[in-house]
Amino acid sequence: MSLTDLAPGFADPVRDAAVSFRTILDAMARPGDVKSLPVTAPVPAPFNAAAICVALSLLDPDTPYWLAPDLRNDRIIGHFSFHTGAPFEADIHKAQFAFFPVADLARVMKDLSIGTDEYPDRSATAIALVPGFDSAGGVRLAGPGIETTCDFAPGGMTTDAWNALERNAMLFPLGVDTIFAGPDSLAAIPRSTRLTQLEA
Amino acid sequence: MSTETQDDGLEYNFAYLDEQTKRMIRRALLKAVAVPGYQVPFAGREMPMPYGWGTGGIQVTASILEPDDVLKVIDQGADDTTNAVSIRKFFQRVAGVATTEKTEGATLIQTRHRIPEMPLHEGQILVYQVPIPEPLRFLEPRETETRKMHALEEYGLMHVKLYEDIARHGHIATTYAYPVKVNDRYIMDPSPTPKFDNPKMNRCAALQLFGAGREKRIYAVPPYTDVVSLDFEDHPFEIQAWDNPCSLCGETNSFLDEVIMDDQGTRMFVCSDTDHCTTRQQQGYQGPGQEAAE
Ligand SMILES: [Zn+2]
Repeated sequence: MSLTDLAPGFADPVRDAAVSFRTILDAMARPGDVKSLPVTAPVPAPFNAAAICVALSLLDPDTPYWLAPDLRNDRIIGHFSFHTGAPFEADIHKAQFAFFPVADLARVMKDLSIGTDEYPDRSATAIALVPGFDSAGGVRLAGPGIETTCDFAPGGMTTDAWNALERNAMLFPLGVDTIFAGPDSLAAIPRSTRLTQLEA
Repeated sequence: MSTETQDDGLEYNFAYLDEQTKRMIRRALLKAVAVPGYQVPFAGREMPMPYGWGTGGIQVTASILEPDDVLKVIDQGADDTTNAVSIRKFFQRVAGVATTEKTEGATLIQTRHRIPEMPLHEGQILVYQVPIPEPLRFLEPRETETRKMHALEEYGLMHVKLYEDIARHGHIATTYAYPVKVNDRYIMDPSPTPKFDNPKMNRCAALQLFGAGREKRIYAVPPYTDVVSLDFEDHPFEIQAWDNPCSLCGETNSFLDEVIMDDQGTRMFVCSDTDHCTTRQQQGYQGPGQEAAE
């Protein structure tokens, strides 16, 4: 691919990264609370707007990232390389960030780094691309960041996927932090959140 | 607005820090929020800053600031100390953000010692500048060992130290940086805040972020997270109390500083939180004045 195929990144990189990060921080601090994206950047297929915002604000040459096969193409890898300098990592175990369609969540969680007892921060961050946040069923969340409980139902989650996140929560303080990236908003479930599955 | 051109003709990157440093700190902040009370190491760079500014707090604030923020800075409880004024001016200059002395209207509050008396709300972030982040450091100087103790939840020594206080003084004598347990997992040093403020950390509606510049650690307490001051059944945790109310505003439930009023050494006790005190006075509350306070 050539340089002319590249889509632009953030229109105002410094400001857009700052406001995007605040949204991600707010989402991580208030699990299950769906936050609208404060800015959008051009979205190369098959990514979505929130996943691009996360990538452009958090990736750089120090952060190897992994892409699920369905999201992996030269255009995306070229886009991230040009705008962030982050290296694509084919070995999921070594990735600091992993981007995947929500359908892959249960499978992907098994392979991501969960950190070590002495360095629980050396864990991966999962970015699950979802169609939206108004699905039936879902989970009731509790824990740090949540005053009482919070019901959360992103699209495309299966029982297997929720089971994988429940297992992840049991690893605390180790574990993976998950960002759910939608077409115009995002939400997060850090490892500290406890989940109870609700009837669909 | 990638850069701000200032009157002096210099250009600064928005909020002063370079983008790569900000990204690194931002990633550390997300981990800190995900593992409440755990100290995340970060490879911060040396920042040329005046002594007392607290590079950790400055770096956290610079990494999370957005253009719409309204920033409040306090040193002790006051907005008008030299440090508080210069840090506020610094961010006005390099980030063009609005500033305030009002706790209520601030979206971001940077502090060195105190938590404002007014309960914080959901839209706010409190950034602490922390000198010594490791609560176990005075028990165990080796970082490799304190890391192991945190990993294994081996906190017995900390309780022993508090109990020695009781044996020696009849009560727990620690009044500042009084250790807390966060989310029933990590023991955390709440920075040099007085223990009076510890209860305000518990299930606070605002996000609390802690930056230690010299030791390069970031930690966090998400909103509505349990923060429990360590104590014993027979010696429960207690906060400081004063015999008299604030001389200026009559508040009976705030942290008071002793101030010398004149050459004769007249003393008076007033709220350390200056915004709280002036707000109350504007609302018509009055204290007993300096005579009555003696
Ligand atoms: Zn007062």
